[in-house]
Amino acid sequence: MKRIVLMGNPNIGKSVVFSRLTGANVITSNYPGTTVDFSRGRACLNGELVELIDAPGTYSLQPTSRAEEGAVEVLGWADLVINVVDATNLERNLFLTLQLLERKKPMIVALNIWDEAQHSGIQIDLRGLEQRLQVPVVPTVALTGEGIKDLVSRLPEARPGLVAPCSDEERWIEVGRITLEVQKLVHRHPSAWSRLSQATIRPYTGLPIAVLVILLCFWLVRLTGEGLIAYIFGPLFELYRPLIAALSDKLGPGILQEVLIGRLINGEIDYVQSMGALTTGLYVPFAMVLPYIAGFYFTLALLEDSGYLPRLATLSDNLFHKLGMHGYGIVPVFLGLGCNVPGILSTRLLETRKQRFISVTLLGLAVPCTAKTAMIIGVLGPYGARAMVPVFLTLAAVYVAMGLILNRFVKGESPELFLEIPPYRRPSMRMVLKKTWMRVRWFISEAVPFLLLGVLLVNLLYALGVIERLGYAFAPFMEGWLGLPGEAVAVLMVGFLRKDLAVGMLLPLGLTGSQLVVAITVLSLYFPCVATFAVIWKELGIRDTTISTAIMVVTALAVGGSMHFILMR
Amino acid sequence: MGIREGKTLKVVACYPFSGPLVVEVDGREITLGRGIAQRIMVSVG
Repeated sequence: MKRIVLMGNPNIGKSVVFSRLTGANVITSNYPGTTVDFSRGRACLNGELVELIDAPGTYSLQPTSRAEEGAVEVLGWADLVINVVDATNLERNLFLTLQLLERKKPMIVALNIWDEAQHSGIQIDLRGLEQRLQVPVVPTVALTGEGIKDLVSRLPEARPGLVAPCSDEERWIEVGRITLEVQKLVHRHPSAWSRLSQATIRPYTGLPIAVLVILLCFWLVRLTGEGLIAYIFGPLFELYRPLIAALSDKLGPGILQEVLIGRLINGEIDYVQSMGALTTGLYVPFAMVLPYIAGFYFTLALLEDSGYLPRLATLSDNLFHKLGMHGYGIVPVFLGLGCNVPGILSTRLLETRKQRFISVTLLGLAVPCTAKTAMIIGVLGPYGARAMVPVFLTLAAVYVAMGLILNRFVKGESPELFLEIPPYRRPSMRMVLKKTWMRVRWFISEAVPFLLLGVLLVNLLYALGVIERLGYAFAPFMEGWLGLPGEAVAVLMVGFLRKDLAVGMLLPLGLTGSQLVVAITVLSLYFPCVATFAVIWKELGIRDTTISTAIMVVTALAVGGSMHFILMR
Repeated sequence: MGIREGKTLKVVACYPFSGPLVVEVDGREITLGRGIAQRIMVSVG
C-alpha cells in the first residue's frame, strides 16, 4: 500500500488535514507540539487505498527534540510527501519545503491557512510558486475543508524535487529569493487580536491576566462539573437506585451480592462506600469523576484552540527555568491536570533528558489528574476549604521544592525557551466539543475497566483476609509515621490501580479530618497509577523510571510524616 | 525560526530577572530565552 506522509512546521494544521483526508479523529490545537507521536490512518483517495501518516511538526530535518526525531524517521517511510505550508508565514515554512525537495520523494504542497493569509493582506502568486518549486501547490483551509478535494485530485501530479542539496545558508538565501518573487504584502492594520496578544504577553499586564484566566478556568470546570452532577448524573443514579436495590434483595447475602452490590451501609446501598461492581464501580467513574473530566477537557480545549498556552509558557518561563525546565514545561502540567498519561507524552517537546526527567517526575509526583481531584473534592468537601487547601498547597509546594532540588542534582543541560507564539484564533465550538468528547470517550474506555478491576481486587482482598493481615503487619509503621490506621495500606495498594477509587476507599475507615488530609496527600504523591507508570517506563526507560519512582516514594513518606507531626501533634 | 541576517526585529516584551524576550519578526511573535537572545547581533535604529 502506498504511504503518504504529511510533513510541515509545527502548528500549521497538519493534523486537521489528516483528519480531513482520513475521517479519523485526532487531537488538534492552536499551539506548537500537539502531535508528538505520529498517527496513521487509511483513506481511499482517487480510487486507491493508501496509508496516511501524520508526522509531528518540525522546522527542519535536523531534529532538536524527540518529537522532531519522530518526524524525520517517518519521512523515511514515505512514498509520497504532502508538505503542509502555512500561507501566513511562507518564508519560514519554505526552508523545510526546500529540504524536503532535496530528498527527491514525490511531493505536493498544501498551502494551508489560505483564508487567514488573504484576510491579513498576504498575496501569494500560486503559479509562480509552482514554477519555482517544480511541484504542485494547492491552497487549502483545512479547518473548513476548503481545497482538500483539489489537493486529493492533484495528488497524481506529485513529483520528486529537482533541488540539489545545499548548505543551510544557501537554502535561506534561496528561500528569501522565492518569497520576494511570489509574495506581496499589503499593509495591514494591527487588529484587536494582536493588541490583545501584546497585552497578554508583556509581564506586567500578562501576569494579572494569567491569574484571571486560570481562576476563570477553575470556575468553568467547577460550574460544568457540578452542573452535570446536579442535573444529569445525580438524577440518573437516583433512578437507578430502586433497580439495584431490587437486584440486591433478589440476590440475598452471599458472594455474588458482595461483589456486585457490595456491603450495605445501615441497611442501604451507599454508592461511594459499598464497593460493589454495579454500585461504587459505576458511581465513582460516572457520577463523581466523569462530570469534572468533561468540564476540564472542555476548558482545556478552549485554552488550546485559542492559542493562549504558548503565552502562558512565556509568562512562566522564569519560574520553570529555576525548576530545570523552561516555560514549555507548563504544557505537560496542564495536560497532566486532566490525565497524567497525555501529560507525560507531551514532555517529548522538551529537548534534553534532564528536562524530561524533571518534568515527568514532578508530574507523577505532584500534579493530580482530574479523576483524583474530583474525588479529593468529593471526600474532603464536607470538611471545607480548611481541609482541601492544605492538600493542594502541599502538592504545589512539593512541585516547586522538588523542582529546585532536582535542578541541582540531575546532570545535563537545560536549554532555553525558543517558542513560536501563534496568533489568537476564535475556537470553533464544533471542534471544542468534538475534542472534549474524544477525550471523555478515552477516559471511559481506559479508566472504567481499571476501576472495575480495582473494585474486584478490593473485594477479593477483603474476602481472603489479606487486608486484615497486611493492616496488622503495617500498623506500627502506618500509625507511628503517618498517624493512619493499618488498613490504610489497602488504600495505597488500590491506589496503584486507580487513585480516584482509592480516595473513595478512605471514607469507610472513619478517619478524622487531619488524617484524611495526610492520607490523601500521601496517596497523591507516593506512586503514579499503573497507566501512568507504564507510560513513564516507555518514555524514560527502566533506569530513570526506577530513580523517578524512588524519588516519589521517598518524597511521599517524608512529606506525609512531616504533615502528621505538624497537623496531629 | 525566521530570525536571520537582514531581518528587522521588534522587541515586544522583555522579562525581568534575565527572563525571556518576546520579539516580533515578519509579523510573528517568538519567545526566546535570554541566552539565545544575547547571541543575536542587531544594529539598533
